[in-house]
Amino acid sequence: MPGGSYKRSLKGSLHMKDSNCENVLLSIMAAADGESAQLSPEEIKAHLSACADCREEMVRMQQLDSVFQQATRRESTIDLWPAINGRLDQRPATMNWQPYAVVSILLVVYKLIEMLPEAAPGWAINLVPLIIFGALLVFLRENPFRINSELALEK
Amino acid sequence: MDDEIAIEKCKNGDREAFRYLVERYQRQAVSHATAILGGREDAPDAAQEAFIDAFRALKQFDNSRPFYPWFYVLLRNRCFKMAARKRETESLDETVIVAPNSPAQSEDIHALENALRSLDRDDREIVTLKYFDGLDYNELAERLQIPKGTVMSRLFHARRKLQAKLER
Repeated sequence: MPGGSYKRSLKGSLHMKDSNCENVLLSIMAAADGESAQLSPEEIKAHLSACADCREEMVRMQQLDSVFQQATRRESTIDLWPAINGRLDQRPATMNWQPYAVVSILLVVYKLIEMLPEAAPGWAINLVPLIIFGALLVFLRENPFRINSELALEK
Repeated sequence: MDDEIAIEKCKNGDREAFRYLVERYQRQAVSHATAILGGREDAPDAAQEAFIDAFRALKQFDNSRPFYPWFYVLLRNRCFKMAARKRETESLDETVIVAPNSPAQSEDIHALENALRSLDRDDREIVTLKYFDGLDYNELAERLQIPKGTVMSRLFHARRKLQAKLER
C-alpha cells in the first residue's frame, strides 16, 4: 500500500450500531484470526448483506491487517549478558524483618510481665498463643506481611 | 543445548547455561519490553531486571513448560513497575517498535509506529503480540493472564482504536 493510502481509504467514522453488529464484527475478527467464532458463516453473511456499516467495518479490519503485513517487530541488537552477569551474585533487596519481630515479641512479653501483678492471670494467658505464633514465624523464617510479587507464577 | 537442558543446568547454578538463555531470548525480550513501554528507552533495563528475576526464580520453574511464556510474565511485571516509576515517554524520531518489511513502506510504518505508541499499554501489547508474534487467543490469554473471552474483546477494541488513530 502506498504511503498515506490507508488514511485516505478509511475516511468516515467508525460505527457500532448495536450489540448485534458488535457480535457480528467479533465473529468476523475471530474467523479472520483462525479462531472459532460465536456466529456461523451463514449468520455473518446474512447480517452483512443487510448492514452496510458492518461491511465497511470489515473492509477496515482487512486494511489494518494489510498494514501489519508490511511491518515486523523491530529487534534490538543490544547485548544484556555483561550487565546481567555482573549482577547475578547480588542478593535481592529484601527487608530484614527478623529484628523487628524479635523486638515486638520482647515488648509484648515485657508488657505481659509488667501487667501480671495488676490483672487476673486468665487475661494474660490470652496473650500466650500470640507469643507462640510470633515465635513460630521467627522459627520458620516466614514473614506473614510479605507481598508476594510472584503470585502469578505460582498458578 | 536446548532450553530444557539449559534450565536444568541453571537450577544447579550453571551461569553459562543461563547465558545461553539470555542470548537466545534477549532480542525478543527487549522488543517486547519496548512494545509494552511504548518505545521508552528503559526497555533494555526492564529486560535485564526480568532476566535476573528469572535466574532467581528458575528453581521453581516447571521444566515441562516452555521458557519464554513463563519469562514473559516476569518481563511484564518489570515493565509495569518501570511504567509506574517514570511516566514520561521519550519522543523519538526513529521507529523502535515496528520495522518495515521493505524500505519503500517507511511512511506507513511511521504512521503505524505513532499510532501504536499513542495506544494504551494494554492495547498496544495485545495488538503487537497478535500481529508480530502471531499468537492465537489461547496463547494471548496465557501471556496476558486473562480469560480467552477477554482476549477477544480487548483485541477487538484495541484494533478499533488503532484504526481510528491511523485515520487521523
